[in-house]
Amino acid sequence: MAYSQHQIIDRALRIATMTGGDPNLSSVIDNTVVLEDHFYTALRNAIIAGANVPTEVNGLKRDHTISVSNGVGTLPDSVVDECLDSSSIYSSTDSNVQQFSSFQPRYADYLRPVHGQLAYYAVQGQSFLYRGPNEEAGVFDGDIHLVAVSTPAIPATITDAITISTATAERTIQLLASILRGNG
Amino acid sequence: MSVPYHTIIRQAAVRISSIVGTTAAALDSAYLTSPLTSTQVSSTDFTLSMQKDAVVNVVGRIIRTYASVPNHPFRAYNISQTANIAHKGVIPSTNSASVPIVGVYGAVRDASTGQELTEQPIQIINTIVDDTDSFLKGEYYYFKQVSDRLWHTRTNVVMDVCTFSASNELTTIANNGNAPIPDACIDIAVAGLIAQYVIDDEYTAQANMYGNYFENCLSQMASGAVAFTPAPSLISSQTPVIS
Repeated sequence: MAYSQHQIIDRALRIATMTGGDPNLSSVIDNTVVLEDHFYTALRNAIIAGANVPTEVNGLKRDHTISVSNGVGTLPDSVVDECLDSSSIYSSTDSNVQQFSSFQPRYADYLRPVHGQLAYYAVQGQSFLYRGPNEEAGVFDGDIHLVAVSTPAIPATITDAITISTATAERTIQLLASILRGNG
Repeated sequence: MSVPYHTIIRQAAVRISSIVGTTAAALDSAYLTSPLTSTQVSSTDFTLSMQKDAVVNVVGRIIRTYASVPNHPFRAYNISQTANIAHKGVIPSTNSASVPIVGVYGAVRDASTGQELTEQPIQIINTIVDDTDSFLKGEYYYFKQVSDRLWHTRTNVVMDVCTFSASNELTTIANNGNAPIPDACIDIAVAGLIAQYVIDDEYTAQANMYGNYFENCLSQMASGAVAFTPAPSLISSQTPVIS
């Protein structure tokens, strides 16, 4: 089933407004704009929650091509930083990238790898960092594919479908409703 | 069913003996003649023109009364829309046809789609209208009336309003038209009209009796009533057979 932002917001508003009382007396009945304000936060949190479910996590990953120059590229905004430990990288031209790479969450460890024969990648701010096996940091040039848990593209039109699973959509709806009722 | 003005006028005219005629047949003929002229309805105390002015005054009072009650069902008889009002625009004093607005404002609706707007604080409206980073993608239908201006989140809105114009009603009477009130108000209108017919000490007793009924009905109407007890003497009906 395809879900649009509009559908998700409408369902969350109904749940928040009509659950457990007279909707005419609800203090949140006219808060659609707040749901749109919270939408991205709720969607992101729903994805993070899904990333903790082994059967869901792979479905939440998306393939990003990062252009790396001197070992540094730009991390796409849609990548969920909190879930990078479940990410992987590969290159269509450099087999070392896929075979020997390991995510290094600590920047200091990335600079001083324990096992120099492995490739490492890390994130610092919005920078994606990569060093190949037996290679200094700040050397690598080329495209690297990062496969990581990510938020989907949000269409410019609120009624257009968003590419998310039913589980993510339902979780987003529940989170939005909870936020609106002050439980977020 | 509608309420013809001439029905109200002539039923009140019966109470002040202003149906012209010296025989029963002549009176009956004059009573049934439509449209009314001063040949059929007039007296030295109250000419037809005076009676027309009086009935417009009475109908105006009735309409202003229920128009002042939000969501009163009778408002449907007088409802129309203002011209387009832009964000922060001045609320007009007339509808789009330049007829004066009476009573409280009704729904505020999008001028294009007719979708109703709901009320939100002006600060929220400002953040939605500003939306400098174009974050918001939804369609928001919010408004706030501030004094005589309307803040809202649409390009243009219109307001549902009740209107009343005495000059328009006099034209309607001249065209043998209907009073813009519901059938349930015919007794009230006749009673209100009779209550206006007082010259010095003439007709005062019946004017008081009908006046009390009229004012009592308006009081009930102001509280939202839509049905009323019959007038003190039933010369009229809420389902008039005379038209």
